[in-house]
Amino acid sequence: MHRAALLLACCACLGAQTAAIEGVVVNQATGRPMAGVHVRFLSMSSAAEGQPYGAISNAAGHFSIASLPAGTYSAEARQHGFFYMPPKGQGLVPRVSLKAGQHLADFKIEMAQGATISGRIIDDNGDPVQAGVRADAESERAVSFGRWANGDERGEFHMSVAPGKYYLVAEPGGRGMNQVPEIRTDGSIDAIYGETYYPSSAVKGKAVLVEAAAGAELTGLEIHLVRQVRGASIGGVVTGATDAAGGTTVMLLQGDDPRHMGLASGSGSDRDGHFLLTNLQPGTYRLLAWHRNDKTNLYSQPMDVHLEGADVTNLNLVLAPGGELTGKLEMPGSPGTEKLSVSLELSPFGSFGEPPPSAEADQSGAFRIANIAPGTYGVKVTPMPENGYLKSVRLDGVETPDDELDLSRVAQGSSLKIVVSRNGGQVSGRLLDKDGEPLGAMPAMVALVADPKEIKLDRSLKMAEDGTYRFQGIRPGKYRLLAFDEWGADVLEMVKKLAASAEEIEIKEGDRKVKDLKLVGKEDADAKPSQ
Amino acid sequence: MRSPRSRLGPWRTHSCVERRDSSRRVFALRRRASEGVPARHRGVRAPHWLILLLAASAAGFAQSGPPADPNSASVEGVVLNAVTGEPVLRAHVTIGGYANGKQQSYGAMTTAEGKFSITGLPGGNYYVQANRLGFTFTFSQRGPNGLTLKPGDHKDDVTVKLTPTGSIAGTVVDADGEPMENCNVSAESGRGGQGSQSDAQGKFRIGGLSPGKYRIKAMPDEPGTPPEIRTDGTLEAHYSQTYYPSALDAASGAKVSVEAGTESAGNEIRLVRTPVVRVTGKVTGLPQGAENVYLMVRQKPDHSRGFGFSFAMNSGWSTGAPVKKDGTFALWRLAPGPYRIGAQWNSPTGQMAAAPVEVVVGDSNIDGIELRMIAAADLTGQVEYESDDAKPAAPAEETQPPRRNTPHVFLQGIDTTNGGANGQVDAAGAFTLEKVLPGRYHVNWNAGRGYVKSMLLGRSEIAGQILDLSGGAAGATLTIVISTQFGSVSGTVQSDGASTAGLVVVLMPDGQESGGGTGFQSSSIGADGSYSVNPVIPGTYKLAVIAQDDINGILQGGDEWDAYAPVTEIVTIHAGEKTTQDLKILAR
Repeated sequence: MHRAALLLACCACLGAQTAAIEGVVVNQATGRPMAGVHVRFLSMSSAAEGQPYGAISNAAGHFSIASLPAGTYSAEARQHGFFYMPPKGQGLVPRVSLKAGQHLADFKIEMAQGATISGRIIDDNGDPVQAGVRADAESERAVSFGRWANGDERGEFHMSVAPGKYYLVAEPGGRGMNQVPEIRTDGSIDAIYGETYYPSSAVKGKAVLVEAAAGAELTGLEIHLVRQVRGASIGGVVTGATDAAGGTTVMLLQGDDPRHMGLASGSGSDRDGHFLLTNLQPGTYRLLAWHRNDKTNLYSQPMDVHLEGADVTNLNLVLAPGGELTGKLEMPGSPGTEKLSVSLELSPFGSFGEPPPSAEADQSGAFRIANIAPGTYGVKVTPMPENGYLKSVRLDGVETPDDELDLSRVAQGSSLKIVVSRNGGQVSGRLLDKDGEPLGAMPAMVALVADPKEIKLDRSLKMAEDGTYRFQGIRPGKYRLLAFDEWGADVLEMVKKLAASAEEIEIKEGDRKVKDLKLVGKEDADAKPSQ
Repeated sequence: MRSPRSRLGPWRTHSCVERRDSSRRVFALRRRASEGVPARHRGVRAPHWLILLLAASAAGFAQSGPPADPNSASVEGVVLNAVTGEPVLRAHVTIGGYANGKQQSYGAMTTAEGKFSITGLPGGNYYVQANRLGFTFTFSQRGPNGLTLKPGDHKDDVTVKLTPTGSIAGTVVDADGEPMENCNVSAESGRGGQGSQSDAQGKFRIGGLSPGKYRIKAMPDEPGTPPEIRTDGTLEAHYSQTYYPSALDAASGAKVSVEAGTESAGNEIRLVRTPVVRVTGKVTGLPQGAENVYLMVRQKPDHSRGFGFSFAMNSGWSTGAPVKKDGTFALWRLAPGPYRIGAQWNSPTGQMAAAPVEVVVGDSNIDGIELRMIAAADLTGQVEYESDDAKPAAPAEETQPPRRNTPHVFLQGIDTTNGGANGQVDAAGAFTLEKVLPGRYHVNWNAGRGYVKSMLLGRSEIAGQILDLSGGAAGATLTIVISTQFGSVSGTVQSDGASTAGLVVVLMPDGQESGGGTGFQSSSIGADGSYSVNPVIPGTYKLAVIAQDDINGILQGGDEWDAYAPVTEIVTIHAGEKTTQDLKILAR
């Protein structure tokens, strides 16, 4: 009764803007229908993002959602002890796009019974070790099944995985980089255990794959941890602090490319300014010290250290007040009524945990920014006019890319001249699918790339939700413009490939170009090598 | 017709499996970056690093064993199982401290007889700790004062007792008794918490627990989405986080007792079904185009300690509860209970925040919350001293580096993450607190012998230390009156001959909200049962004799104090007066 009423209500509201989806849930191994599976479609369209539509499969495995708005959805299915196995190439959470009036009647959901894996982690003495265990799927696809389990205080772990072949990796967590090595006088060894593949290997090459068949219960797998060679230390002293009340922090960045270094560790220094970071693997590191005062902060110059095997413990990081810039912000043709501010964003991580150095420009456009830590910065002007772009950034008279302002040794009295043009280019249009039909309300990525060899994703990539796109405030120049709707984990590689073969367009000052853009796919990039 | 071939992007994941995986990675990363904390318990709240602080009595230095090295000291001892008295094999003993101007630790492993030996220790003050997987720690009966060694000392009677940990096991079921998979189950006590997940049969086990009483809580794995729309006649069942055995709030739940080396098994948590409700509103007062507005949602009191704190942004990565570009927000599926919801925005030129609004999530929707954003503003003020002795001593001369205790006024945020502000007070008593965000603050004073007795904000008088700047700080001036008229409280703990070991007298402002520990004071209990808390800022306080082990939980906003209600005294301490109050201990 109740159900009939609901169905009637839904039929009544079935208009041009809605769609319907139904299908069947089956057990992948047996092909038999599965009842009681919770199927769920989560809206990804901007109008109703996050709204779920759900159904429970009946005895025949059939599920149905009689009415849902046209748009894009992610599909999920859940049942105790089972995993949803989307068709190959669709990732873990496939997307489905429904057009207005469409009735998709054959959406098939295959479920696989999971397998359980359990075992124990032990050290050289055979003692249990509490560590997390990761199951890496054999294939290295960007999107693949993987699971994680916390080990317990008996050294035991237990996890449930989708059927497949896995590498089991125990992660004992190692030793903190701030821990000074312990002195032992009783002949025992202060062993450090590293990441270990089942059954007992530091590298994947010597690991044994665990085959987890649907419904299997694999027990008693023992991971014997392998010892890690203790890494070298970096240490030294921070000098120049004038206020004992403040705190000194030493930050350690790691990475081969200084522009993309990641934060590896942080450490305080002791009362005399000494610091020591231990157990570091060979590589290139950058050290920065900063000292927090009441009013101003003190900073050291960044110091790069290439660590091979030996300890480097004689560093001296000298604290000094931050730099100061005076500057002028020009915006030809501006009515001059809007207050503009200039801020500096430290590369690669934004700032030292405080708001980035910034200042408001006065009526003449003059500004002064104080307390700038040494480093490389990007310039940001807010609010940027609708089609505005940074036409010129000159540091002490030298033209500099606006995101590579080297302020490592900015002297007091350095000057920055920024010219904002209100007349950047603009390109907009509709997105077309591969058949040349308008795409409609389906998410796609659009990229405007100046140099396909050096792509800055944060600047050049946009998500389009409603089938149209628009880039504004474009600096005049030659660009590659492209759109795509399939992407995996490595979007950068994807854009690089696609951009190399994309058509080049020239955008001039003040241009208002309209250009419909056809989606390209991975196969397009592979088929057409760069022209 | 297009087939649904598009891949999942890295920006939007709706899969439960994926989300858990990515949060785990973030967690792991943080752990790696954190200092000296073993990254053992991924996804578990408090890493259970077994620390034992052990003291040596000044007397009784044995001079036997290896010949004394005149330049260094040595330590020998034994690690025993606190329950069975048996030696503990391969326990890791660490003696650490600050000696010769350097932090250094010395380690050893125990033999089959539980014995350990460390030589070559420079003279200095040390702590002793021991750990072995499967054991927790016990305090030495000698008190946590550490080990003092002089060159040439040989100390051979250090005994460390390790208590075997216990565990809690059970199942999580739904209203029909069906198992619930992938629920986060946590056990919490004053000593921290541990967590685990329920498996496909709904089973869970949380190990490594110190003996004691725990609240266990199961949180279903559900994203914060609106109610599911269904057209097949079935209904969505929504379950809220539930305390053992089947309660929505901690106080109505039962505690589970864990004993050393044993497992409390068969604990069934039956999840409570609740309607899916929303909390909606609008963030107002933002400039146009403001991006990255954070919504701050905090459960009150914060029993969940960290779990209840969430962020949502209006661009980029979303948690399912974003502040949209037009300032509106919607939070779905908050567990029932009281919350504080505020907002914060870091503009390129300064911060804005909205003082939190209190809501109680129940069975129905809460709509129309307004979070009014107000820019941070400087607050200038003046300190007035009630008497001359309240004035900080003038520094005799400029010291280099400057003295640590230059007079400061501190604002400590009560409501949100806006930590507060501090301002230096000049010789004339003037101060400026820079960039103060709207909200409520506790006002403290660090110099001289005095406390904040009252305040004057503009023309309104405020008794006590709580400053309400919910409407913003712009344009206001603050006068702070410092008094030295402290009170005190002392008395006798009447234990009727029972031991007061491990107990302390604790004083906490009455009616104070959980967390922070502002105004919290404690006193040890003398051999004759006497205690004394002095000085005390005048006011009304809760006073009780409490187990040392419960203090952490109380400071973190737990409900550990509730158990002491029968022996809690409410005392009013007046300015310049000595109050006497005898106390009883809780019958065991």
